[in-house]
Amino acid sequence: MKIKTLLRGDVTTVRDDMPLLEARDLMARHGMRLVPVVRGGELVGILREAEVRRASASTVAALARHDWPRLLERVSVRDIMQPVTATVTPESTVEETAALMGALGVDGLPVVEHGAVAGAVTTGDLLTVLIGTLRHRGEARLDHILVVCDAGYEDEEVAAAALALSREHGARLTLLHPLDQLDRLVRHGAPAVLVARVQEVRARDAMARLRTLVTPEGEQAVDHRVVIGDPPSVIVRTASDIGADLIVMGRRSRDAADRSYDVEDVTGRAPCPVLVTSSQPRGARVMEGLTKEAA
Amino acid sequence: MRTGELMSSEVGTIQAGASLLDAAHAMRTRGVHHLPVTAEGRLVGLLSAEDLDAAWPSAATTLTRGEIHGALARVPVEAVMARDVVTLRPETPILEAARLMRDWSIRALPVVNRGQVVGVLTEHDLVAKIPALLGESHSPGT
Repeated sequence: MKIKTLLRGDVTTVRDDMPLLEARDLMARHGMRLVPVVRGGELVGILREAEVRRASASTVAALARHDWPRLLERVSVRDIMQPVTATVTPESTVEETAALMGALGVDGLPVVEHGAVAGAVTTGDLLTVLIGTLRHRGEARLDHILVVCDAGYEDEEVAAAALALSREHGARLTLLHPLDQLDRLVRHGAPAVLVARVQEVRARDAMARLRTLVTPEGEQAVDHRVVIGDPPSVIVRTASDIGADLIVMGRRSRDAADRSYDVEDVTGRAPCPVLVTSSQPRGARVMEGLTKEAA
Repeated sequence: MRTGELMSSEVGTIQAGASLLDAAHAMRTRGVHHLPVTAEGRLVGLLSAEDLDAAWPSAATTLTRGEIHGALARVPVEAVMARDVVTLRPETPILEAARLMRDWSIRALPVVNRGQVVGVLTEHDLVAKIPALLGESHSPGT
């Protein structure tokens, strides 16, 4: 990756004869840790937060008492700027720049191109690059897992599987119960107010159930959501909203009307991988047991 | 990669009652810009070089150099340190550490294990790893 991808369009510099206090305000307004200093359009120095802080009035009253505010107004950038030790270009790589900053022990460098200042790059900018890269490299593995819990007794297995994964990866969990819209009731003439009341109760019960499914330990982060809508769409949309890295759901997911929707309705549109836990219906296990005893 | 692999462990700490002058000296001799602050063995704050810079008299002070040092010797670290300290554990993944630094705009995080400060992870430690992390091809299970 090249430095040029980090540069914002506008280049901010200060003239070396600018009053310090004005430069300080400018840096604060733009959230800049360092700013290139120019004279006649040429790079002549670097103004850093550290020097600005040191030159500003003390934060300790006993020391600030001895400051002479009028005199401080006369201090200019030139008086406290640092010499330019190194520069990088927009074509420099992020790796080279990081190595250079480390070797020099600085937290920022001016960027120049064809003799003109093109901006500045700081360790903060590089940190953002590092974060993006680690995310894509999978160093973080899973950050956020969406768990679909609307399948009755299977929810416990789904939640257990998701919890185990989240512990291993240090991921946060969002437990989701999608509730269908009950449009059948509305179509059959049920008053909207009544349907709304029913939904409220269902939503409340669903939320109460969700909260019992996972017992957070220590710093385990768990959110609970009950969302009304077409369940596969709700699942896909929620996964997108929260930036989920994984969806965990049971094979036999169903909404409260016992209307199964297929896992494929989700996997076909999901913004991330889907882990499907499957389990034997309890009925089948019981039947096996009986058959063996009979034999 | 975990915090414990990148952090500096020999940073040392400073007492809350120590003076800013002591702190400046400690930072200089140890070559660090951040010092976890303890009181009765507990972590109570973090003192950064930035805090020292801010406490320093202005460019328009009437104090002489000797007077500045004398004044700094009378200001305790706890007067200027940051009190709400975000900490890491050695097992914290570095991605989380990096995110914390970015979200809170801080450049150093003390690393705590069983209530004891065992090191400090700085923005510099992370940035120094960029050539290694960006340069190599992805190897799973690192």
